[in-house]
Amino acid sequence: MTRGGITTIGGIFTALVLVSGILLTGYAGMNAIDAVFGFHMYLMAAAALLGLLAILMGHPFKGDPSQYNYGVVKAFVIATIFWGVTGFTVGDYIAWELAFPFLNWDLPWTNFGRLRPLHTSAVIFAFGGNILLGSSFYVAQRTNHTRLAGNVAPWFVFWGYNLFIVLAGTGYVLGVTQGHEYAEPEWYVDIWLTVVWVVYLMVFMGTLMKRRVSHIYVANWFYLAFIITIAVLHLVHNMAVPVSFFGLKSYSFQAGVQDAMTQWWYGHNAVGFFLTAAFLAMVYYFVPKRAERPVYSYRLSIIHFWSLIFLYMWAGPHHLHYTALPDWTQTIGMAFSIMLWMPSWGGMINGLMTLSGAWDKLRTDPVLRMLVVSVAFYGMSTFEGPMMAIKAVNALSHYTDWTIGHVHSGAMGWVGMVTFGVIYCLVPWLWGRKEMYSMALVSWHFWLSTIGILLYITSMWVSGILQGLMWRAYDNLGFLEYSFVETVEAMHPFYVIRALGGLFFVIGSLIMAYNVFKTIRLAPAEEHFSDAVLAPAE
Amino acid sequence: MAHKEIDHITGTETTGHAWDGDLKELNTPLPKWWLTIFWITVVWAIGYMAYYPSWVIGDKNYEGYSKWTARADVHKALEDAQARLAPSFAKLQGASLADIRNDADLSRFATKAGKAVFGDNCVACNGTGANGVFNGSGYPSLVDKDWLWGGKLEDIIETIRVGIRSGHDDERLNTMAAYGGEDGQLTAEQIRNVAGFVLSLSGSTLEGADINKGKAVYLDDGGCNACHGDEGKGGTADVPGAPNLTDSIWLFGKGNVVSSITHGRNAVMPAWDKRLTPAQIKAVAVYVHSRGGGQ
Repeated sequence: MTRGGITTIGGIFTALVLVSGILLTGYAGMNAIDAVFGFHMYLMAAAALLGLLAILMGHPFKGDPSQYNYGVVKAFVIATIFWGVTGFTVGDYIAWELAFPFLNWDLPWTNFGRLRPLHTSAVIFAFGGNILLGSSFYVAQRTNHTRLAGNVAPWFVFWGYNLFIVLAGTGYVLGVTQGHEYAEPEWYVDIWLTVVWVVYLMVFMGTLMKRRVSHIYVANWFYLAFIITIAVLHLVHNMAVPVSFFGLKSYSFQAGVQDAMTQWWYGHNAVGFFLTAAFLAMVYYFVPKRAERPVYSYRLSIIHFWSLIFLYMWAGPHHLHYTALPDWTQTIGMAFSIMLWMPSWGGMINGLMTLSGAWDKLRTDPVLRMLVVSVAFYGMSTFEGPMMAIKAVNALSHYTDWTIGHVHSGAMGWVGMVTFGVIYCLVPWLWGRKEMYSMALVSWHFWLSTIGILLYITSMWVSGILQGLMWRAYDNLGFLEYSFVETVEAMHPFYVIRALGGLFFVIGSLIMAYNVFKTIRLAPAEEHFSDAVLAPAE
Repeated sequence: MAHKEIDHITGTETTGHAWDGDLKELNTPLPKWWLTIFWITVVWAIGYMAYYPSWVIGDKNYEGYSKWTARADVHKALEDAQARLAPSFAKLQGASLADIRNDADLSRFATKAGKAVFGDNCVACNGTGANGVFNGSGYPSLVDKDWLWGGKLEDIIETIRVGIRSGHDDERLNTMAAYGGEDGQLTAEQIRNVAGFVLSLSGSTLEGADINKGKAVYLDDGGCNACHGDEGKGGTADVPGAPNLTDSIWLFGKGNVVSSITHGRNAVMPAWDKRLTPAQIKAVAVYVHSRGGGQ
């Protein structure tokens, strides 16, 4: 029996919410005092109208409780690939801009300041976010032996989340920002994301609550920690007072060093819970599944989970070493960063050691190779992070390209690679194909990405350390040896190498998009596909 | 009931649960090295937080066993540096150009100090080698012999001190007015002709310009000679700061002469007397003077 659409309580409720949304945004749009605000309000109204029409037509929000909801997961996977290619391309473009500044064409829409948040949001929240939401919906269903909670709600999360991304991205290009790094969207976009996130939490929790297994699988803890913590971070960091309810501008409730501290409490835990905990959840499901081996250590998973989420919360001040932040805060930030080293590595150990007895598969399975290399990059950047949090090291690395290299070894090597691996697992499983269209192309993607990442991070290491050393170079009389602009000149060759590395990465992602497209076009292999909900388990 | 089993590859027991068909967990104990390093980092962190300022008690923070503060550290480093450099700066302050040239140590000190000051404050406009950003950028090269406000050491010191059109009480001030536009003193044709004339002084030509008519404009309708001199050789003691038009050095670009006359030019250099000490100004002037153009 299928249920869904306007005939369900969820459908009626969502329809009512959407009608009020249309009225609210339409009214705000008509009274808008900024052109971009009006554009965004009408965009939201149009999206709500489309959603309403879809619900009234009762399609595709129908579902059979005896089958897994794969449709919404498929949508998330496709969105992940789309935003990934977009975000990597914008990132590489601004890498070329840094090497050759004329590429900003002296236009407001294409200058580095506007494209940079477009890149970071596209890769973190659009590419990363879509795979996290999508994979969490897949893993929650499979490991809890039950269909996803709700029929309309998961689709609301999908379209709502992607609307958030469109609002954020178009806003950046048109010059809208509240000036908080990784939280640039203005107040009305923040409110919208809050609505979507609450529904996401309800869908995830609802699925856990109706699980038909006694024990909750470890991946679900990581996903839940991610959902709850991101909600807290988002709410606290975006507390702001709009100048007008019909305009873009708002003012943060904090100022000065408090604002900076909240920024990096937010920023560091976005790394910790969005880019670490949630991606570890993917590792905990997809690595053992792909390697066909049990997870290495249940005990380690518990200990490193709790120590990770407890310790991460305190480490934010290491982003503000040697600033106006009080000394005592910096001490705590550094101390907790050091303690965070082993809890972070717990995830790496569990990821890598799960391959005990299956190491030979690395030779034959490029997908598993991607997953394992991603965990290796995770291990490397979670060693590098605590090291850079040491004040003596930070004195050299702070404000240099080393930081950029560190971020990208995490973002490209860990988050990017693990996502590619998960996409290569999920696409055949979701669409019921035997395997990807071409394993050779997966291999090409693997090598292009790996070379690209290595070019990126090695060039930034050299550039960053060179930059740091030049900044602190004194002559024998105690005068600075170099002017700032000389250090900028010295960066140039490394900026070119970095941009080339990024280009490799972009080409790899295009190959993935092609491979996924061809896989979906393949004929289904019946024996490899079942979306029937599994029987209850202990 | 959970069905614990032994994994045949590792010989380790599973937790007995299974999810999604074949998803299981081994019950491997925590790796010893992992646990050991974790405890070491915890003990180290506690020690570190005891030694340095950390944690808030009431409205004050614990000052740490060491009583260390970053602020005191910076103050001490600055004081040490100032104490080390003060005698040399004092010597520089009292020295004439000849004194500096005759004293190898003082000369080296002045040039190095000046280079550092220049690097921190001047390169953004005047280029890393004091040679301008690029020819015709509007930022002057300081390595050639062409000086608008004088190339003697004391002239350079004064320019740095008060700036050019900076708003300082003693600013270096003159104006290249806009001669074009609707209410302009000159027509577009006259401007083209006079531009052709001044370009011809250094052997260049401008298409469509009548040099003879241009010369008349220069001396008469435009009155350019009031500042640039009858010969076009630039400022005099009475009217300082006007560029020499015969030396083929074009601060705003050889191709922009028509534009310069039409719209005027009034570039600004800030005054530095509030930001730099007199000794630093002298040092940077010595550095600039030593770059090849000093008189």
